[in-house]
Amino acid sequence: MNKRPNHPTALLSVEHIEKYYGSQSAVTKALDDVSFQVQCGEYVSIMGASGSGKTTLLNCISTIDTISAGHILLDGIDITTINDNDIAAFRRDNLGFVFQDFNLLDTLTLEENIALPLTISGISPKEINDRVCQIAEKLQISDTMHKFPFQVSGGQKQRCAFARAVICDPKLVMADEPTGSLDSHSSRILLEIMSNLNRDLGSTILMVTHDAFCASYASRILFLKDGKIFNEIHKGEKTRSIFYHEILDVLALLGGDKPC
Amino acid sequence: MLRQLSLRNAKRQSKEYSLFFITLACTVSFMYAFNTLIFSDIIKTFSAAEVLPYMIVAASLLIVLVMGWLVGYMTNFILKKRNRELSIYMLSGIPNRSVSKLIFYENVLIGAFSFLLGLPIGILLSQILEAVIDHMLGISYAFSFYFSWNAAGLTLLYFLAILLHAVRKNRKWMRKINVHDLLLLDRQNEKALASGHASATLIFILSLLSGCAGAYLIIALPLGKGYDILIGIICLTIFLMGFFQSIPAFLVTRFAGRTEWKYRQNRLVTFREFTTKIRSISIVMGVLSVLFMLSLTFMGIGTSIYIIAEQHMEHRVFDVVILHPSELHDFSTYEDTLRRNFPVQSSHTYGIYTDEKKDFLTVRNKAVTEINQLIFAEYRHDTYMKQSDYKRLREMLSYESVPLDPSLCYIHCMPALEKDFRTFIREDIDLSCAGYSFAPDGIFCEPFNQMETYGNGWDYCVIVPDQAVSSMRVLHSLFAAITKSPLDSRDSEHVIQLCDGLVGLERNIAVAASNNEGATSLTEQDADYLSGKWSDKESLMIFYAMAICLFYLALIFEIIGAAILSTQILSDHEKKQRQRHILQQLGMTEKLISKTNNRQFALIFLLPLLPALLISCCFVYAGALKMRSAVFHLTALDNHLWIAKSLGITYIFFLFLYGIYYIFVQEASNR
Repeated sequence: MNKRPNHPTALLSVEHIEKYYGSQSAVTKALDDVSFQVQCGEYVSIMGASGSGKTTLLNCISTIDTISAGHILLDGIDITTINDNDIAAFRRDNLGFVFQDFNLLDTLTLEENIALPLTISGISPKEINDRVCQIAEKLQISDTMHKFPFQVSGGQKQRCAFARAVICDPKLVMADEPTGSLDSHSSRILLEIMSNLNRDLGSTILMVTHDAFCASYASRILFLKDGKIFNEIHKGEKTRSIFYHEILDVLALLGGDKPC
Repeated sequence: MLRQLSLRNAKRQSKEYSLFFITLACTVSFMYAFNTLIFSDIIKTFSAAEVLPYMIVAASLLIVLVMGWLVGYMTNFILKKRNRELSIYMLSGIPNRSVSKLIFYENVLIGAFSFLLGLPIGILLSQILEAVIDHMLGISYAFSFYFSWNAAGLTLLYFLAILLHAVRKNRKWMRKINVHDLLLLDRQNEKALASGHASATLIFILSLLSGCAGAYLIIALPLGKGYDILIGIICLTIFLMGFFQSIPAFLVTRFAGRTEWKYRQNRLVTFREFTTKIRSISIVMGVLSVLFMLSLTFMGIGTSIYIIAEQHMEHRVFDVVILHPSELHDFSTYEDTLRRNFPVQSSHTYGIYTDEKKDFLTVRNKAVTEINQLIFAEYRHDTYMKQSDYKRLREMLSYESVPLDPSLCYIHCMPALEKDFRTFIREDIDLSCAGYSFAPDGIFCEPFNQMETYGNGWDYCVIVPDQAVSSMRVLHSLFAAITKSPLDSRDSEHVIQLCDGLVGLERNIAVAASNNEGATSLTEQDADYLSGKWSDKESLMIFYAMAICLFYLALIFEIIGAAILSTQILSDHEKKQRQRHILQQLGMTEKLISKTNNRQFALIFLLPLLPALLISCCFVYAGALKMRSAVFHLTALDNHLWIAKSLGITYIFFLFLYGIYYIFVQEASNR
């Protein structure tokens, strides 16, 4: 993998990436010259209507999908040049994932689901136990650790998924519609927790959502439209309520999904 | 519309569950191949083989019963996996009756496909089977394309009976089920994850104890009268039921809390996936274990029977033996006729003598295992052979030439008697025969036509200097020949037709001797008796028939069991794909994911096999010993290595077939 000089504090640097789908007869341009940077410890949200390319963008950054042109650098490493043999180790050491449908293994308890990435990394069982207990306490799921996913609520499942995503202390946590399957109360709890972890531990979070309320927890929002970055807004010193209304204004301008 | 949909569904299913349908086709081919034996001309010409068709029919009926249940279970299982599709049909307004009809058409199409695929393979298999049977009967095999309409019809009948049961079962299920139940089928497995563990350890330990008790009862037979076998089987059944009901929960109870163990070496996913899978199919696992146990037992017993039959044949060394009772006889007429019709490689005419002494008979009788053995009038005293005859016979049989001292006596006996005779000769230094003493190490034990009556003595013969027989009575005279090409029982019948006064020797028929001092098989007046290697082989036909039927059952049970297990594993394909995707995201390498999956598959394949191996080992051991003592009055197979050999052959063959299914599952899953 290539290591290139980068902006000193930019953890993620997306440079002019393009992504095409389909065959020669019917080509769809999913991403069109997208460029942006995410700084260390930043909480960035990507918003856009359905089909705007936000999940494609996340998949490309997370090495699940490949790009057609451009470069993606994470901590100075061009992830588009990592070969298949090294990709697993790269994900394990650098990325954490949270998905709308939780992606927990049904046959493992919550505790085991959280411990799974650590066992893959070959961490000692004692350390695994300690780290799992700590994160469970932070995410308020200590009481349900011995239960299977089907025995707990959606909110608890998503907190478990988030715990699993951050337990290896990845450089970048990526969340794809993390509140999409949750009720408002569970969503709020999860977003508070994510926000706290970002603030207290300095976790860098990149979240894809089309929910304005959810996005209002981020410090910066990128708006995608037809595969291009349409707009970008910063929270700065604004309250979350003001920021939320600002998001709604941009969405109205975007003419996409109705705001939640 | 319904028929088009059925055709499309049948096509899709035959791809998704290809292994199961190929196994069905294999079952058809095995059935056809074995059914051809029922109508085989070769089998019809051997009167002793007339039992074989009945045995094959009985085995086939058993297979129809077992297969009927298993195919019913599997087709129902496949239907349950299609619950979403079926519920969409129902929600679209298609009545249950029409959905049942749709499934019926699908089953008919898949059945027809399996049958048509299996039949040509069956034709090929029938040729292989015929070659095996010909070898057993000593007939030279010639390849010929042969299609038996009768066998195909019978196979179709059996196959229809199997399918009919499956179709009826599915129709019943389909008519009862509603949309709500169909949609909730997926959730039933989830609930099984959290079912109680409290009594698992106790049940597991009790089942193991029951298994040990069953194995002990069957091997040691401490009670006798068959009670031990009966109680043993009950104990083993309890073991199997208890074992598969408790093992998943037992493993979870024992290991789920041990973080030191489960968080090492990527055991976590393997352990949880394995215990969840076996918990969801614990009853199926039990049934599969019984199937594999039966398959291994049948295969093991079949192999033991074959080894016993071959051992039996090994001691019959001459192709043709003609016996004339009570006096020396000129066999030249027979010899000429024989030479005219069959190329004779070597032959010799000689006498077997007897006197009033019982020295060696007493030693022999002590060693005989069968207490109530029939006493033959001809064998109430020691038997003797001249040294010159003995040398000539050894030469004919291409045995190593041995220097015989013309002033000493020797013994040729069955290997099981060697030790006793050697001790006897050493202990009694005054032992002599017609004034000739015995050579200290003069005991020979090569196969010498001594295993049964009316050969070169019964189990033993004293080899004496030629002049020693002058004072002895002739027990019978013999003409022994080795032909250039092997003869079979049809040739023996031909010889009997050609030679006046010659009858077949039937050792299994005995009547009271005229002097009332035992029985005799020489029942005809003024007749000479024909026996020999290949004609005797026919008497072993019952053994071969049993071995063939046991292999038939074993093969079908194994392939259908392995197919069910494989289909169960492969039916989780979507779940496995999802799991693979999650593990990839978490940074597990492709290689490690495949390794983890293969480890799970190996454990799932191994689990029903382990109890089956243990139990079948007990059954084969006990069965083989019983058969040996029933067949041989002397322990011709003098140690237990032959049982180990038959178990070894069985396990290798079984694991080879089983391995094919395992590799298929591994490849299909990792593809």
